Amino acid sequence: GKKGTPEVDYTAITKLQPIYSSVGAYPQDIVKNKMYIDPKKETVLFPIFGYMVPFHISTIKNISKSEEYIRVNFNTPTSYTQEQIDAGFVPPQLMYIREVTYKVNDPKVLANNIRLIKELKKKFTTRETEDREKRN
Amino acid sequence: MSSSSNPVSQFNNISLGGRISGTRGILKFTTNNITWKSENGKIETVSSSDIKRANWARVTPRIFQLILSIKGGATVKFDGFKEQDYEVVRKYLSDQYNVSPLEIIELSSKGCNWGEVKVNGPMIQFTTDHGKVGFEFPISEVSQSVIGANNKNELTLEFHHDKAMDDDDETMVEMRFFTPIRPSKEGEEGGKEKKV
Repeated sequence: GKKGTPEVDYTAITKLQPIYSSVGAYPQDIVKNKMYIDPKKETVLFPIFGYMVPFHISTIKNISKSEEYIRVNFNTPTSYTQEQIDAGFVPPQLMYIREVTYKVNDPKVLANNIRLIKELKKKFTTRETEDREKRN
Repeated sequence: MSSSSNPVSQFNNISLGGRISGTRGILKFTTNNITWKSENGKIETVSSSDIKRANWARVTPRIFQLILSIKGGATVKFDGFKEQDYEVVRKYLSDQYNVSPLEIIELSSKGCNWGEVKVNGPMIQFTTDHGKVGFEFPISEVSQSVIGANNKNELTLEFHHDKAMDDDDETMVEMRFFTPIRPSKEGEEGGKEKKV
């Protein structure tokens, strides 16, 4: 990390609020190698090489199924703005995760994970729309 | 040095970290080695003199991980420790192997899909939130890497299939990275470096 660099909203998508203060604040019943959908925090935790990595639902664009695979597409901007670059917010190694694909052997688990993530996405989008209408 | 009366320390229900497979085993600290033996007979040994650095990380609310950086660049991780094991492990490493401190590192819990991708020895690290590691994997886990034919800003990594994985484990088989386009500004003073 770069000292003095403000924590930046690199995305045009949403201002991401802190979700979990630390790994200790993750849901207690989380299991190492399994996806976990946390409706309270509107977050999906994906197992990546032994770590549980949270992704706020606003970063997820869509989710689809193909045989025993789950594919998750994430929101990514197509370009950085000059303002972001001028402000030093865009280090050279900055990258976005655009997509992850998981193999899930159990068809029930697979269907359930997809359903829960889609529900969460829908709930979040509805709320966002309502908030926007209220502001207008 | 009261611990020298008991130079063996043992932990049950430990699995190899950083792998998909969660096979458990017994981890034994002895005078010269750390040896892990799984229920199905798999063995992993780390010679105490090869340990360059030791870290401790919380990987779930209940599970802690010992991360050993080995001379030559490799990393060996053991999962399944409890919070109170920290002091026992720290003392053993320090007293018996002269490896200290056992530094506690925090993994990123930020929740974003952007971060810096860094190469750290054989490890590829994805860091967010002021350099905290979100996840990492050895480059040897990558079976194929493809730069988008129509989109040079896109990198797809395919991963080896972990034969040791349990049937109900959910394994990541592919990950795609994307780096947004940087606008090139002409005639600016101290013209910005153009990164590709």
